[in-house]
Order: sequence, then C-alpha cells, then structure tokens
Amino acid sequence: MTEGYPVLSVKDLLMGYHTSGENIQVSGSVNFDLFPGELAAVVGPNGVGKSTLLRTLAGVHPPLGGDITLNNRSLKSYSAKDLATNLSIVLTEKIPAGNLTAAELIALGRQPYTNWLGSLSETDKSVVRSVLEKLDLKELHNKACGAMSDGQLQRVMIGRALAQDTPLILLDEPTSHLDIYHKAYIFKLLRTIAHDTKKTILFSSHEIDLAIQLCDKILVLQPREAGFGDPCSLIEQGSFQSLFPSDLIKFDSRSGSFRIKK
Amino acid sequence: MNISLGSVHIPFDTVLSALLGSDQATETQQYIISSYRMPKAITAILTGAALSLSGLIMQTFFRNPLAGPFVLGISSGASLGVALLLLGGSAFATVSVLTSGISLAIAASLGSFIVLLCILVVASRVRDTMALLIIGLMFGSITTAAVSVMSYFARMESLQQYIFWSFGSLGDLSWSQIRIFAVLSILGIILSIAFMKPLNSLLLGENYAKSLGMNVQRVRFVLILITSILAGSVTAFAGPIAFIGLAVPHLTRQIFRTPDHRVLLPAVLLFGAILMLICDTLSQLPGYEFSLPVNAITSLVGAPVVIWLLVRKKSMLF
Repeated sequence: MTEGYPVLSVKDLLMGYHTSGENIQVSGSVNFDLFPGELAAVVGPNGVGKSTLLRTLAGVHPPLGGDITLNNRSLKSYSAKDLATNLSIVLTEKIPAGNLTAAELIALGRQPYTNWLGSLSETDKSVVRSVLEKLDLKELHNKACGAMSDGQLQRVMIGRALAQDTPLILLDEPTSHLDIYHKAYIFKLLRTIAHDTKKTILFSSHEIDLAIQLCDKILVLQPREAGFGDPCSLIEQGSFQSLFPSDLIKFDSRSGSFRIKK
Repeated sequence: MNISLGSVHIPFDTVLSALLGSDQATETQQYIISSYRMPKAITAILTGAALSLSGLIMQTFFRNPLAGPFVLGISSGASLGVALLLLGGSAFATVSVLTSGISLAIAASLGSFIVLLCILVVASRVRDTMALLIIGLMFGSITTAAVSVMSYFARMESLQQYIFWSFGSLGDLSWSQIRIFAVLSILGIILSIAFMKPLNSLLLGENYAKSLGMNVQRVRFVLILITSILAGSVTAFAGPIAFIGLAVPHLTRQIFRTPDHRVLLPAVLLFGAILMLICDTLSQLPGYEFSLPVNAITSLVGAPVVIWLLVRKKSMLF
C-alpha cells in the first residue's frame, strides 16, 4: 500500500522536555513513514512517551531534535490555520460543553473552512451529513454529548475529526474507558475510515492484541529504541517480547497476544 | 412601562405620548421623563446587556458555569479605585469636589483598568486558563482586604458614601455619560460578534480550539479585553451590579438549549436588558416615595434563579 509520497515522515525524532537548561529525553530516536490510507498504532509501556509523541506530531510540543515532515513540508513551517486543514486530533479530555449535540459538535470540525461567522455552507452541511451517515450517527444527531455513552461520544469525536477533512488524523488512546466490544468497534471503524477515505490515521493504544490484528503499521516505543513496521515482521523480529518485564506476562508469537505466566 | 413608574406617578399613556413628542404631559412630567426616567431606562438596558454578554463570554472562556463578568477582579478593582477616592481621600481631608459622580466613575474605571493590566500581564505568562481564574479571584481578595483596611480608618460620612456606591445605582447619569457608556458597550458587543467563531470552538476546550486553527493567545487577550470594557464600564457608571452576568446566560441556555454563540449572543443581550429593566422597576417600589438599591434586587432575583436551575436540572449544562 506504499503509494506516492508519505503523508507523515519522521526522521531521528528526539522527544522530551526542556527544564531549567537541561534536556530530559523521554525515548530513543524515532523514525517512520506513513502513507495515505494507512492505519498505524503507537504502543508501548506507560510513560514511554506515546502522548508526547502525538503532542509533538500535532505541533503542540516542540521536539528536542530531528525532522517531522507533513505532506512534504516541514511541520514547523505550518501556521495554526494551515495545520488545521492538514491535521486533526481526537484527545482523551472531556468536552466542557455538555449541551452540544452530535451534529453541532461534528459541524465544529468544519471551522477551518467556514467564514468569520462560522456559518455552514452547502458543502459543509453535506460533509456533516455524510459523516453522520458513515459513522452510523444519524439517530444520535440531536442528542446532547453530555448524555452520550463513552462509546457514542468517541464515535462523535472521530466524526468531528473526519469532518475536518485532513489527510492525517491523530488520536490519543481512542479506546480507553471502552468495553471490549466497543474497543473492537472503534478499531474496525478507524481501519474502514483509513482504507475507504485514504486518510492516514495514527493513534496511541494499550490494546496490543487488537493493534496486531487490525493495524497496517505499528510503532513500538521503548525507552532506548523504537521499532516500526507491519505487525507480522515486528512479531518475527521479537519486538513485543522485550516490551514489558518478563516476570508476569509473556508475548506468544503464535497467537499474537500476551499470556499471563502461571 | 419602566419609565412610567417612580416616586412620582406618571400614567403610562402620558409617558407614551411624551416620548412620541405630543404635548399631553405637563412640563414637570416632561422634565422628569427626559432628564431622569429615560436616561435611567437606557442605563438599565445597557447595564443588563453588557453584564450578561461578558458573563456569557467568561463562562465559555473559563469552561465554568459559575464564572461571571467579575471573576477577573474587575469589580474589585473598581471598588478599590472608589474606596481610594472616598475613604483614602477622606483620610487627607480632601475637598468634597472629589466625590462627585464623574470622579467616582473615573476612579472606578481607573481601578478596574489597573487590575485588568495586572491580569493581562499575568495571562501572558500563565498557560493554564484555570490558574488565571484563581488569580482573578486572588486579586479580588487582595482588593477586598485593602478596602476593609481603609474603611476601618475612614470617616463615617465617606464610608456611607462608599457603601451607597456599592449598592449600585442606575440613576443619576447625565446624557453625556450615557453616550460614553453606550459607545463602550457597543464597542464590546461588536468585538464579541467578531469573535463568535473562536468562542464556539472554545466549547471544545482550548486544545481542540487550537487544532481548529485558533490563535489561543490572541483570542484570550481579546476576550479578556472585551469583558473588561463591558464589565468595567458598567461598574464605572452604575456600580458593581451583582448576579445579572451570572444568571442571564444560564437562563438563556435553558430557553434556547444550544451552546451556539450565534444564537446565545443576541439572546443574552435581549434577556439581560429585559431582566435589568424588571429589576429596576421592582427597585422603584411603585407607589412609594423612595427606591431600593438595585444591587439588592438583582441578587434577590438572580440567586434564586441560579438555585432553581441547579435543583431542576441536576447539573448546569453549558
């Protein structure tokens, strides 16, 4: 599926924080390319910098070193307005306005394209309609997001990012707080969106089993190094074996999942 | 309706004809209407609209249903200015010229402007909006403390004058003062209409708003500026009017059930003006010869409204 040029290209990226003149590095250097229509997951133990990576890619957090290229242009060269039409995000934080309905929330995704008043053109309205249809949200469109279940809300938030119509969508742990069925549902939904609309989707997750089954590419973040590739070759390289201390759980490369040591 | 009520009774139809320019009203009635009742009604409309709008902006900006126009310490800044003039001034036995209406307005504007400058300086350093809210509250505490220290040493007459100011008053504004007040309010309203779109994206929180292409620093600056213009000018001309800014946005949301500022903004302006007129009418106690402090009425009307909303709705959606 490697067609054309990469939507997102990351070279020798060093992430971390800059505190009192000292650079505190979170993880080893990160290298990867993502192409149109690819679904990719970032996995790794807690505190390894999954969220920092996403924040860095979204331009919120400055990198310590390396290059990030979005659509053949350096990420640094984007203005906030330009970036809004190239990259959309789905965060874990709660929406403060519980009164917003699904349709209103999704329509807010059209803001980079609307006029100074934010009124929706015919194109904007049809985009919102098609997103509602695609994500099976039609019967929810008038429901206040404060009254939705976690799974419904997550679908609406993905819909909002989709309405922003950007080549790259970043999601921070989109399946946390969800039950196993809805986890699988969101994974499949993201996969369908990526493959059907040729958008590139990158998300962080703790669901390594699901990611192995459904993602095109996986980035395995570890304190010293980062592995990247399709799930099968990562399993062959043994990237998942060293992910966690081996005293409690062990990666079973035949089933592609973790087993508890008895 | 509002104009026809007051310590001197003027029939409603007389008022109407006086406003329309016919000569049914007596000269005294004509005088009362044009130089007292009319300015007061216009002040009430401007006050209600400006306070409610700044309350709406602050509630969206701080993502907090309890935020009001004065959370940034604007009214406490104004109180400090007035207190310095009345109480501090009396300590040096200054002449009574200082305590006229105009100098009170100037002192109040100066006070709120200085507090506003402090807040803006702090806002450019603090990244967290919630920290800004707390800093605003702290500024309020500091000025309240300063005022109580001053009132401890102040003379009784000036203390009384200060307390009367803090009751709030929609009356005794001249037409030229109203003109300034109106220009400032309209400026604030126009600015907020231009910022309806960023206000809507702020409904998602600052991070999402930023990802939608909003310049957070600039929007934050302008929103604080709008609030200070609106709430600052109200406080300068009418004193610290309580509760209208907090209650009206909630009331409006109950009726329109949408957080979209393109609907809420005009609705809040209208409701604010109406509620303020009602409060003013109540404060005149129809049939009696004196009027109550308007601040007491707004609290008496506003506080139960907020409680009623909370009890009825479990949570305050916004």
